[in-house]
Amino acid sequence: MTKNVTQTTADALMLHDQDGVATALRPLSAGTLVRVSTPAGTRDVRVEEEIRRCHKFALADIPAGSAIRKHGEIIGEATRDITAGTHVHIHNLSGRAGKR
Amino acid sequence: MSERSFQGFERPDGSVGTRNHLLILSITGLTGPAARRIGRSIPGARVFAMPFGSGLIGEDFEVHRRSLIGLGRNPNVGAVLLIGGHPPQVAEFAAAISETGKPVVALTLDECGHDTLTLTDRGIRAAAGLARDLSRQRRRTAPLSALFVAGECGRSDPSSGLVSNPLVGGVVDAVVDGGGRAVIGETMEWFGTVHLLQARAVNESVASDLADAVRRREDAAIAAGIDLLGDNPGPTNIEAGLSTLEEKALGTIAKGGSRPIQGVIGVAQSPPGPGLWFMDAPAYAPESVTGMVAAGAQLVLFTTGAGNSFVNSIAPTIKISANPDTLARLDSQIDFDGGDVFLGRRDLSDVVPELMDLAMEVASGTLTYGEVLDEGEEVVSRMGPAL
Repeated sequence: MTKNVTQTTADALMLHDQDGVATALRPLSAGTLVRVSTPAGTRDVRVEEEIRRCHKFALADIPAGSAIRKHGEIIGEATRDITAGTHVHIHNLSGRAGKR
Repeated sequence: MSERSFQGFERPDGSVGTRNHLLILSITGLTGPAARRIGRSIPGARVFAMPFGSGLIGEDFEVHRRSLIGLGRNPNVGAVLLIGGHPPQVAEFAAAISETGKPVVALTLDECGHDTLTLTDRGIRAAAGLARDLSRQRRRTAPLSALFVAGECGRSDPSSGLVSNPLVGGVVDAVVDGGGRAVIGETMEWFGTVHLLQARAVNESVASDLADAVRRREDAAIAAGIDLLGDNPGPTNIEAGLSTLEEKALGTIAKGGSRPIQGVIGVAQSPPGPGLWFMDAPAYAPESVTGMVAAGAQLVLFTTGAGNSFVNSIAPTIKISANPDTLARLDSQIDFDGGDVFLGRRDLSDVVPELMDLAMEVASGTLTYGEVLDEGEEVVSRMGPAL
């Protein structure tokens, strides 16, 4: 499932080209430009708040109600507008399990 | 990697153990204390004492029966001292385990006049004889096709899904390609990934079994009024950065590698053929692993993100982590370090063969930290009311 991307020296990992989020490979500080490894090469993204290791941040603005992808698959829906570079977690992302 | 082999203990039925355990198996709660007393007198013996006995109904009755017989039949068990209350029930379980050709001695409380000390005395004498006979066995070269591996994850974080579970998936693929068997369970953690799993199902019937299994678990959660957030993903998962069950599930299923899915089996149900199988079972690691070991798995590959000490008592359990903080904290509990992949220093595909090497080494007798520290336990699922 995990794409064989080059992770060397990257601060965060975007697993699939459709993904709206990246995962921090180390603790990231607010207001810094971080290097994100993507399937298409590395790119720099500014994180707007502190992101703990293994936590996710938005790669671009995500409007409320839109699907959020990781591994190229839908992991849930944005419950509010999410700004690029901010933390994506249970406060703004909700799954569908148990909600039929 | 399909040329791989390991050194194991051949059983009369052709199966091969990665360990040569004497199992003291108490099939009713009444005889648990005697079983543990006997076990303390025979160092190295494994003891499992089922806390329940009579009154189980429906699925519980079946799972209880399959689990106890399955643990006794597991190839890692070379001999069984079976202890229970009533002779007919004990004889039935003994017969089912004896089909494998391994030695089974059965003792009952009835035949000891319900004197637990008499049962203890007879048990120690019988167990001593079984243990000495077991020590005469030697390991021999066995093909990969004799191996049945189980994949499990506990206290997962995103490093599990990014690195540790795909590493296990690589080993699962290698075992399947070598003609062996593999299983992963934790049905609730297939949620949101059914379309991916169905694409790998060997036929339509297996594809619908996968979807049905997940729907039943979700129905049970809805019927119980459970908000899955906080339960699965649980508090540790959330703290570690997993936000939704779908996100966790995408990592979970990576343990299942990439090969075709042969079918969905029940808790403690032995897969009818080689290849990759999915067990429809509770997600809680202790009962999930026992279910897979009772199905016959002789080796467990157990990934953790935040750290998890639990191992199975009958099947050696290799602990794998890729979280650098966890690896530093639990350096004498985690057996395999995937941290370099997480930090981007090495490619996942280069590290899979190293985990495969360790799997073969442990299958051949190298101890896991869990075995050294004696963390092993068995937990059999309970589903509903008893009479």
